[in-house]
Amino acid sequence: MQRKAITKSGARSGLKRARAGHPAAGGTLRQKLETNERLLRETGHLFGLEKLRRKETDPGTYEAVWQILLNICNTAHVVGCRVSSSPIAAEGGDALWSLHLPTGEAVCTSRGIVSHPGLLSLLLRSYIESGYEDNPGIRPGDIFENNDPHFGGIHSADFQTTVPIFAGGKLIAWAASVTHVMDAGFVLPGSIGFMNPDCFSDGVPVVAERVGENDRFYPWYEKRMRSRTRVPDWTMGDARGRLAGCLTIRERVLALVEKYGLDFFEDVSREYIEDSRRYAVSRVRTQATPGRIRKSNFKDLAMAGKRVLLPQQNVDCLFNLPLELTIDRSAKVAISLRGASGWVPFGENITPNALVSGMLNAYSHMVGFDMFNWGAVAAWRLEDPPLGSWANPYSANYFAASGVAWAPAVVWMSSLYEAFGRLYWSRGFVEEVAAGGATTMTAEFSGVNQYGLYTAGLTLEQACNGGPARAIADGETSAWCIYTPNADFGNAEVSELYYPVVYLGRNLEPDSGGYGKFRGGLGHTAVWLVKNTSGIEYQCGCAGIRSKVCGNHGMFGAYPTWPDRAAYASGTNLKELAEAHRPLLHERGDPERPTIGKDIKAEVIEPNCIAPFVTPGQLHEWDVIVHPVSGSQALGDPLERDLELIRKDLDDGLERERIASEVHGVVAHFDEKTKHWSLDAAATQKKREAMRAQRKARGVPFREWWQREREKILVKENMAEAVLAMWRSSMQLSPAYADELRAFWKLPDNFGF
Amino acid sequence: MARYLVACDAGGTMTDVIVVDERGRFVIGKAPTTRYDESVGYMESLDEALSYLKIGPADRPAFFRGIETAIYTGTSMLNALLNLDGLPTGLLVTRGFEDMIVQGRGSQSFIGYEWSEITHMQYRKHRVPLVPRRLTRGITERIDLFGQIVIPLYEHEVERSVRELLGLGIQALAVVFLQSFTNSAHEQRAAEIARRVIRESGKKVPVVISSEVAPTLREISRANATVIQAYASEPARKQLVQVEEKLKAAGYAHSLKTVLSYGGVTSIRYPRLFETVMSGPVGGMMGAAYVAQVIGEQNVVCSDVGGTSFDAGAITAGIVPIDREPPFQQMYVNVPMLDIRSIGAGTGTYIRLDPDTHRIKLGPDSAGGTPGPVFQETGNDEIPTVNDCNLLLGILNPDYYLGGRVKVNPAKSLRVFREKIADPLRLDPYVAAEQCVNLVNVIMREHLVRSLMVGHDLRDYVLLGYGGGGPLHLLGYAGDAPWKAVITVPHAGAFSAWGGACMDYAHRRHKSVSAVFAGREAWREPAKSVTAAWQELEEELLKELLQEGFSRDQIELEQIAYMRYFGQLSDVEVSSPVSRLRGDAEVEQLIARFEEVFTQMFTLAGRPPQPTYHVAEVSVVAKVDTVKPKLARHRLEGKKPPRAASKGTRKVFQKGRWHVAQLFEMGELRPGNEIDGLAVIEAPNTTLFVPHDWHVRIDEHLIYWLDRRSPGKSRSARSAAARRAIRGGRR
Repeated sequence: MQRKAITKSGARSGLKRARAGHPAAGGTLRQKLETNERLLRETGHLFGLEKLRRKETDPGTYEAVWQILLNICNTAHVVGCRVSSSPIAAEGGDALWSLHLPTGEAVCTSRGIVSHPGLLSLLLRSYIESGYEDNPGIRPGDIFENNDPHFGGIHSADFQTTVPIFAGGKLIAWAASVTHVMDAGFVLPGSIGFMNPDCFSDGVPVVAERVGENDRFYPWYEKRMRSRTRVPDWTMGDARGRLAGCLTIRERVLALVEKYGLDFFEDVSREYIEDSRRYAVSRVRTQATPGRIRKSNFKDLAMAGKRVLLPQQNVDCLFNLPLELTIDRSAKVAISLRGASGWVPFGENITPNALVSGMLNAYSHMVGFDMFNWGAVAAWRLEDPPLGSWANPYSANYFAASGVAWAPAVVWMSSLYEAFGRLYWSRGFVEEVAAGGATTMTAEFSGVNQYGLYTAGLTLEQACNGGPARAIADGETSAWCIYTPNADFGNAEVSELYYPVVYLGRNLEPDSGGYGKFRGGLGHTAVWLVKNTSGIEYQCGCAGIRSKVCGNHGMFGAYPTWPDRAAYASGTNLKELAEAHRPLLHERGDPERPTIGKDIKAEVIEPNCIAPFVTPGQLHEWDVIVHPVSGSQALGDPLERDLELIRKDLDDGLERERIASEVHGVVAHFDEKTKHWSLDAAATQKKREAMRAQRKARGVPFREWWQREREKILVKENMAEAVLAMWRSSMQLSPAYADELRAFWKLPDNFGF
Repeated sequence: MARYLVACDAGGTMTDVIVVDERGRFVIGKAPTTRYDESVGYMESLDEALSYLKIGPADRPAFFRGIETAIYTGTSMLNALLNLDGLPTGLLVTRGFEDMIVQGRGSQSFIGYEWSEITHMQYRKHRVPLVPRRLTRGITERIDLFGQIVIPLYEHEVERSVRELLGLGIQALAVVFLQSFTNSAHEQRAAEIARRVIRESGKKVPVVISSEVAPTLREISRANATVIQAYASEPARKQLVQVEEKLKAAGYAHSLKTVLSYGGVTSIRYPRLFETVMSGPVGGMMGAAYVAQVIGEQNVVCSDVGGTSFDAGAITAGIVPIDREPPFQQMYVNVPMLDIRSIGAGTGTYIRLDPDTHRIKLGPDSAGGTPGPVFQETGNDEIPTVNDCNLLLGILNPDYYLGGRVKVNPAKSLRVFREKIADPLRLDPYVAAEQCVNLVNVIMREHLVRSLMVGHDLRDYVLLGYGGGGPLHLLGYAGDAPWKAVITVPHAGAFSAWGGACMDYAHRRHKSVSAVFAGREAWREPAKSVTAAWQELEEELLKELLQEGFSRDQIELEQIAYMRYFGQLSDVEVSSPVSRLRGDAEVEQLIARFEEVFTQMFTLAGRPPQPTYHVAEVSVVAKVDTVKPKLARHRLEGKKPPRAASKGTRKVFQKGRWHVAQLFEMGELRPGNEIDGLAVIEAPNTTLFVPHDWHVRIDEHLIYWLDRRSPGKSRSARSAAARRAIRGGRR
């Protein structure tokens, strides 16, 4: 039986239809790219589309075809995720499928990880710029793939697959996909390669290359995956999933073209992108106050004295993550990272292209979209990050590592929440305000699993934590992840299928959403008992964490939550305690007095390890790990927090009495009989007044503070080497920023760190 | 004495009752749903149905005595969850998981959201937990994924916790421990202790354990299902008993039946009443399954157009699809439900223009019955709906809306539609209205063709349209997709109630297993575990049904395996061609069936070169055949509709201009009649719109066969050929 849709014979028929001809029909792709850029420059409209002709004359069909494209991409997502075998793609949804113009611009995307359509667009563009039309040529049935940040990737755990779509011999579009694999072949197992010192340790490279033809992978591609990744069945399952989804897009787009005509398809594809640009501009114009806003933000990576791979990694690093956002009268947005600090000897450097794609993700959160595609990218301008910085490393170090390039970017993106939030607030759109996002401390296991086989992989714990506080309400708990709106941590029982651990707990982490009038959504803490293994390693990884500094500290006077910490104990007496029905370990407890040291004895207890880190050796049965995932940031003065919100949090065990008293200034009582908390309003008011008076007593006039700080700067008082190195590189890489810094602090012209 | 079957579908707005006599003839009554006491609306609706049967007060006692089966599908359990007025429920969970219900999982906070809403963090919201944190207690215990006890049950904690919870006034207790579906010993023991403590307290508090409610993987969904059972089943049962009492007072002699979410009928005293939690759309699909049998078809796509939503499901190879972890009320639940996918698109869907982009936006919200379309003059003065467009285009009859019971103001529709939509688009209002109707049809078609039918060939499927708006939009959303055939029925407007009467008495059980079929030499053990699980479920089901009074020879068993390639997380449902895996030959048959289904759905690219197979869950369905309404077979009459059916003509706007459409009264059409588009066939509770290029033929069961007219071939010949192909199983 011949099938039309997506069966093998159907795919072949699509291939056959597509054969003959040259992709460059109607001019080379490079020429088209140049024309597109010129038209944007000249008209301010993508593709020079000052009028959306199809939309204006036939708005119903315009919408109908959009709905069809959306469904095509989402169908690919369903097909791809179900074919893919990895828990990250299938259970966590860390995957995406999209449709692109021949010149690369994303037209329409599936649900999924929205950080990637921008990168996929730029990857396709890089094929054109590298002359792939002529060598190696782009043919029907080809499969191109990449995971190399040098050529359009973000980090090598994110594999990008692209498939050209031909009709009548003409390249009419691309289908593309990305999935995050469980192990990328890094120097250490897993897919969060923060420890990678250089790109040579960044895992198996797939360098914008043809990895298959006639809709099939080359055998040597599969061999490479099998010998250079640690869990190749998952890696290849993902590859098949990406391909199956792309083929689904191709076949269905061809059917759509047959029905509506190629001219219509080509016209509306471009109009959708321009329409999206217009929407982004319109949203900013409608709800933001124009002007310039800056946000200082810092992220650190404290690795001195820990297990590292190379001697030069035995350092603490501090990233300067500055953001300057300018909205002009016509609602055009300009973004600058002027002052960004230098590249680091870890896998935490990102390319400007990847940052553009990350911006698309943050824009979708804070500006929103009507049609999610490349259009929004043309609604802002990202100034090239300083050459040699963590955001543009290759001019200074072409071999800089990007094992988890998102790490500084997600903290930086969080600044965008606050920057837009303040501009919305000033315009009165208080519902749209969001304080900064949560950090994403990852957990990876590698070693012998419960089935006696080698395994390596990432849990989903960090993929869902609290949403940022809003100007009208607390952030939602267990509901958000800054790098994927498909935030979900799945079920513990599913995780236990994949890793040799038994959960002893996965409750919400009290007080983890910062302190403010409205708190951020809370994170949670996983407590794992190692079981059914002869030994595993645990990596407490960095996909955007804070070791010692509080970068995103909340908005409008809120206090930050504490930095990221984890704990573990090996050689424990948990087995004996369990047999004696004695208390075990199910929570982190008060971070200042972690529970891990309370009831259990162990050969090694590390109650408060500064993240990130890799355990010094393997963990064994009855060893235990405490892995808290942070909550989001708070908003407003904690002394203004509504008493009923505090009472409810106390009742639900989401806030400790100590915090309620010391930070929110409430006087609370617990009724043992009813198990309810009650708050003494009068006593609370008195206490809050006293706390405000204390604050006032501590305060100094700005000029006095400025003078004191200036003196410290001049003598570099109490500045660790990481701090000095950060300022040194920031000033060196951005001379204008250095001038501004010197001017603000009235420092000598030759001042440096 | 005449014998009857009475089935009811109490929806959020209307309660439909169908009365079927022993010859399979049926009438349908409608009345507003009365949420405070559903038995009131039920009896009013039944009264209307009886009026059609001309059963007066004097004949009522005989009628009620003659009811052999009464089936009730209500919303009482759903209402308990919506209104949060279920039993105050305590929860014992594995220590360290006390926040499980409050926390839920991230994806529960955006169930049913549009993509642009999902990315907008400000919209995130979890539902109010059914069990607050203060009524939850953690119990130290752990069992691993292999069912081995890692940490023993701390029994003293169970005792202390139950005493505390009783002191806090709980009226039901749920117990959910991790991995209890692999080994239920800890849950069973905790329940024993809890029951003892409850007994000693002199209270009556039911104890529900997750390993009995839903012994399947995923603790959050299992906990949600268990809590629903503890929290809502008894209040819901109370409502059902009230209905039963009303019926018994009137003379009904048997027990009332209700509908299971996975399609089937059971007694209202069924212990796992949570399995009836979502029975609203079930009737439609089960009715469709019955229609499929009548027309001899194995593959049917069921599509239900209501005022607010478009619900669809696909019956494949005669098997109704089941979702084992469906989203429900912002929770994922391990409650097997018919896999019915809904979108917010119906006849009451609002039409707006985006203020920023001027894009046409349909819904997803709708005017529903209240305030209804603009033309209804019941409060909606601002936002036009899809039905306003249908009226403007002349498809709906302004003098016959809901049988003429509702007054219609077309001028108001035109004014508001022009002002809000057509003028801003700079389009003629009728052109704009047609574009909006076309758009909703495309959205519905896409929902069917892409979302629902991933991996299926439409040419294998008959598309059945029902619901009040089904026949109105059916041919629009059928479009030019290559359906095997397109059909509807005259009782489309009350099809769900009718379908409720078409169900078998059926129970279903699921169980997680882990059977990995690697090399053939190692097939024996996994085959044994699958067979053992089937046997265990069969024994449970047989015991239940035998206790309910059925004999063994009445009960039919179906074995199902949920299979995947090893390492994948998603599986496909495989109706096993064999009832036991006794040897390699049976395993091969099961694998062959799996591969056939898998490659059909996910392309050959998804198949690993040297596959290992994994069965992660099994299921057994036990069915008992029951008396059902019949689609009576009539003598075929002439092609030309009788004079009485003709209602004249009306102008209808299609493809940019006005045309004259023939009008017919559906109730007067006869079997064998044929009608060419452009035509409108009207009934009090639905309207069948037949565009220019379509043709209608009514068969001997009063099923309407709709096919495209094509030049060079007689219409009736094409229609007959299509039907012959279906009967013969050919294209």
